[in-house]
Amino acid sequence: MRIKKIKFQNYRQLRKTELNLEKNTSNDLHLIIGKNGTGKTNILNAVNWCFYNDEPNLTIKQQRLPILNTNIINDVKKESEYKEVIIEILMESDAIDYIFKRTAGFRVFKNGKPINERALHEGTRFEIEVIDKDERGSNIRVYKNQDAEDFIENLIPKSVRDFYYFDGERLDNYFREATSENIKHSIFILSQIELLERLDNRLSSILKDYTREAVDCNPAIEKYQTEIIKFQKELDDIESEISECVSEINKAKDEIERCNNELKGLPNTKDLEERRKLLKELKEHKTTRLKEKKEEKDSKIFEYGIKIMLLPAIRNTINIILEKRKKKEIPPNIKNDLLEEILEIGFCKICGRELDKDSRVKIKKLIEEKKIVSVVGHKLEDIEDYLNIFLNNIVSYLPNLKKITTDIKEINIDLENIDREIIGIDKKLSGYKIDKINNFINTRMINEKLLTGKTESHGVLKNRKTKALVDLTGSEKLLEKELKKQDETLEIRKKILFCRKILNVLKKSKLKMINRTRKEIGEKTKQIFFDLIWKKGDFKDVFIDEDYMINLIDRYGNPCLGAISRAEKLLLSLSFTYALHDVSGFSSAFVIDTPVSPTDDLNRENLGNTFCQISKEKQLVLLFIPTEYSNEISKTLDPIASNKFETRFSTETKETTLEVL
Amino acid sequence: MIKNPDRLSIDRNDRKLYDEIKLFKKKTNKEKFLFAMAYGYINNVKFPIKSKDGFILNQNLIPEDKALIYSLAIKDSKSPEVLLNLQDVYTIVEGYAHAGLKLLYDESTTGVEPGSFSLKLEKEIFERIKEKENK
Repeated sequence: MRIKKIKFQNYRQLRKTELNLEKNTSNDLHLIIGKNGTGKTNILNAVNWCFYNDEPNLTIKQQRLPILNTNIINDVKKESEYKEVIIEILMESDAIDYIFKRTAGFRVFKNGKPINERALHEGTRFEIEVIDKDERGSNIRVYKNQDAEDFIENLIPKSVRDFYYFDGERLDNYFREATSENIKHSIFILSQIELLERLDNRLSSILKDYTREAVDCNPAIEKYQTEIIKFQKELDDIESEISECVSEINKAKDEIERCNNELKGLPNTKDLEERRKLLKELKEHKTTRLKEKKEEKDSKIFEYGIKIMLLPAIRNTINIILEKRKKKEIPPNIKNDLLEEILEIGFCKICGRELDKDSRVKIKKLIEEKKIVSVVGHKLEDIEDYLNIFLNNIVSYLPNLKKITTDIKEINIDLENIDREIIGIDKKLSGYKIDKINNFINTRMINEKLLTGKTESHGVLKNRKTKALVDLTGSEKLLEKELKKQDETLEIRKKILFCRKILNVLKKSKLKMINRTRKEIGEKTKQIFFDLIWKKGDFKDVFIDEDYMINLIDRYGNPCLGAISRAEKLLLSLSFTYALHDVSGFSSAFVIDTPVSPTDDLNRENLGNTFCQISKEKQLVLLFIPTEYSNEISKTLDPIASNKFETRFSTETKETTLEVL
Repeated sequence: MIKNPDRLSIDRNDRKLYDEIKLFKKKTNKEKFLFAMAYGYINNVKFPIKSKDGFILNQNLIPEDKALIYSLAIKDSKSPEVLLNLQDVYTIVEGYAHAGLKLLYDESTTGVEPGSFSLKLEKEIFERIKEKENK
């Protein structure tokens, strides 16, 4: 199905214009080029408004403006005048033509006064004409309002519109926004199993009725039925929790992968900064220690330095004392007080022996000798002990000083190493946006914690589910037993069992269909992606896993979705969307706003070739800004495009016109 | 009878130098004086002081200090008899301190790089110890 024409009437700055998208070449490719603010994106909004009555790509400024063209509002002079915004989209397929028309009515005056800038919205009408081509004119079905809304919902469901009409600038978030839940939902819709879903609901309701009947025959059944309802509800709740849990696990995994990819090749700034902080603290501590050690060394040098410098003088004095003692010019080095005390107490205080007569004589003689020693002798005797202590201490001084010196050397080495490491960290960190990297690291850490927590919860929920299933089966068996007891419930029992069987088959069928669709879309995505990708050898696989996550695997077997270029992302999303179209049968055109915006020239050329390939089989409407439509892309697309338009905005009339280029 | 001095003196002009030498930071007058005295001795320089300015009272000298002061006086006068006259002892050690201080000041203020003086001192002291060990 393709868009043949879009008619705009009084829609924002598109006052009255048409966009003809006839296929004139072998490529169903249509290019619309326009500067920002010329109304290019409003073409995409108009399509959305017509189909779904909303405009998802409005800027904040546009949101404040009325949908009704402002010139029209200003032209209205009478209260009775009624104005309409109309978007009409003509679509065609091989056998059927469709005309989608949405109209919104407005009044500009109320109670004789103009309603400022915003006109008064008087309701919207939606109409779809479906024309069978074989019997043109004779078989036209018209759907209006709610019927029309239902019709479009079946034809191109609103929930999957992002896969048809998307904004290229949102592409970076495409796979994050299109996470498992969205994809699962889309696949659910695309699997077209609503019929089975409705049947499921109806059968469940019938089953309840039969059970109620059975209860009337045998009140004991009620007990088990109540239990079954209780366990079934519990099971449903658990399944819903599991689904939520899985969704959060997938989101966390996706975030972790995104962060990992963003951080690939980048330094772990958080760890490095923490290490740097630690090193700075260590440096400060070591510097203080060094200062203390140096002061200790200076103090030792000062203290011992005096004695060492005076060493010749000290040694000279000691020699003089020894010589004088030999000549008896100095008495033995015994204190007078001690000698007098020994005499008084009558025994030697050193060896403990009692003094005999000879000893007493000797001690008295010694005291006399000491008395007659010269003043010089006394002075030398007074300093002798200290001089000897100095000499002994100097011997222990050297190892002491050496120890301090070694400590200082070691601290200096440590400080050098710390400085070297800090410089290394600074080098590693220079040139990086540390806050941004830290943000990714923090996000990854949060999601890793979340993943661990949710994985644990998932396990707990699985156990609870198993238990609830056991309880449910048990109650079902007991109910059956009760039903068997009475003949009159036999018929009802058969019906109940039959309903249960069908419900089981339905559940399994739904699951099978969804899984088949998932696999088909995955395989088709892979096929299209590998057909179109320019760097063939870089990737190994594309698939949608059981959790409905799109996975892209690089040639080394690693997931790489977060690490691919924007152009590759665009290609993958196009491949996925193309596969959705192909598998679902919900065929529509691709309308892409700013499709190549931030990609480099080489990738633009590659994407140009991709658009060329796609448009051979599918209608492709691309909305470019002029800078985006560079030579690299125009040289590929210009020769093959069916149509090329430019949106021009007149500052005088404040209106947009579509010029054919 | 000659009266014994009750204090050790320095040259009046030296007080400022004692305050300025970095090595003497946080040291007492007695420690500064003894160091300057030892440094004068090790460098074999002794200048008589011209204008006396009291620096350390005798009562602040402990026996260990006296042992060092007496040893230097004996070594300089080549006789222990010098101890008979405390004034002579003080004149000798004050001369060494005066000269040693000047050297210290010059070397510490004209040092090529900070800390080099400390290193020089350390080296000198190590050599003295080695000399002692060899003896």
